[in-house]
Amino acid sequence: MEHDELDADLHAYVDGELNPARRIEFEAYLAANPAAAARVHDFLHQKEALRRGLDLLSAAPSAPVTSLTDRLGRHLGVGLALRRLGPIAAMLLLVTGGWSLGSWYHGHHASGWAAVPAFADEAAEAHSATLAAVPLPVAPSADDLKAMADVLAQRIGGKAIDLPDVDPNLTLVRARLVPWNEGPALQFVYREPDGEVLTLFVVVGDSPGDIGLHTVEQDNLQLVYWRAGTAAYTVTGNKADRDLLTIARRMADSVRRS
Amino acid sequence: MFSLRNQLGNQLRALRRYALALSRDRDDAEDLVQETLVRAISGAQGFRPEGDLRAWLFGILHNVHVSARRRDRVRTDSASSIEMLAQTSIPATQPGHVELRRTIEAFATLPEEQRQVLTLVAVEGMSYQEAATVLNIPLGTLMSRLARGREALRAATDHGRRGPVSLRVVR
Repeated sequence: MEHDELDADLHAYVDGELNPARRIEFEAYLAANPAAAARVHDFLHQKEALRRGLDLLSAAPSAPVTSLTDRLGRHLGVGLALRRLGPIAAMLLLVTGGWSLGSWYHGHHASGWAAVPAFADEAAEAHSATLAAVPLPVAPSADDLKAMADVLAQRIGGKAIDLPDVDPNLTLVRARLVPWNEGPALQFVYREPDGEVLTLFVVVGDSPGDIGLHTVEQDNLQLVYWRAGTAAYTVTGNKADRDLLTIARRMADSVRRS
Repeated sequence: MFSLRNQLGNQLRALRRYALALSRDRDDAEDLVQETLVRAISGAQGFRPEGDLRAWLFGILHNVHVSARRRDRVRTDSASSIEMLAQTSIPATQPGHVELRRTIEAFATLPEEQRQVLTLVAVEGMSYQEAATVLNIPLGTLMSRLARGREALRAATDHGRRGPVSLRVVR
């Protein structure tokens, strides 16, 4: 075999580019050629040293890089979700608002991303975007609501979505279809008698997890979330809203009974 | 379950390693990654769900770097240069760190084209075809640069048996 060919194979072996048959042949060659085996060893060692060294020198990302990464995730999530929506749903999304594409995600999420599931994190973001929307859009019609629910139902093979019973004291201000990382989601915006605004965020397709009720505070918001089968629900409101947990607990109980 | 955030987190670490390998300066590397992310955000609507996120992001970073080079940005010696960082961030008191430091210092002296292919293939684990696509070079060119870079690095470090490498500033 030509030297150049052997040399190319040596690097290809180090980089996992040889097919299984050629790899076996080459390992036989290495067993009989200590000098070549030493080079392979050195190059493998070199790979590890470079990776470790560059990792050590990279340190932690700066705040702007972290924020930009967050924004990119948001934009990519919107793009991917929009492509998963049918034409009617996509039109509804445009009519009813969807995300504010220029929104920044506030706060560093080194722990936040890991602290709550993605659907609850998205719910908090959607809640903040909703409160920032002035004026609030007009709530969609009953036909729009049905079309939105159908979009979600299609995601789980046509099975109806269990929507929680809502406290009669809450006023529905708005309902809309919004994209999140895994597809479309439903967001309902309610106003409490004392004027507080809370949102209910419903997604399907999340991995079934524990069915317990979880509460978490994040960025001055209070989140209460739970799962039921492949659906997941998040109620979000002001951190100081004392009624939120009670309202969310009733919603969760009504879903479990349905 | 597909998690865009996990993917992005992994790609961010990889992008920052590659940016540091290219610029050999932590501050410049951070600027390069920032600019890459800004351009990625503006082009996010064009990213296809079936697309390769890593190839897309690395391609953007590569183009941003090439554009910066065209603007003749002169690298200045600073406290954040890779040589200085190697001395401050990799203390020689820990086992194995002497060799690690020598490898990074020697790596910094390689020509950029060799640093590029070494980082993409040896560090980030890209296939030859994927790396050649990012760099927009023929496969054969990539393989010869990779071989030359590896041999040069091996000669410069000599497995830790030599003294400190003598650095030359490559501009």
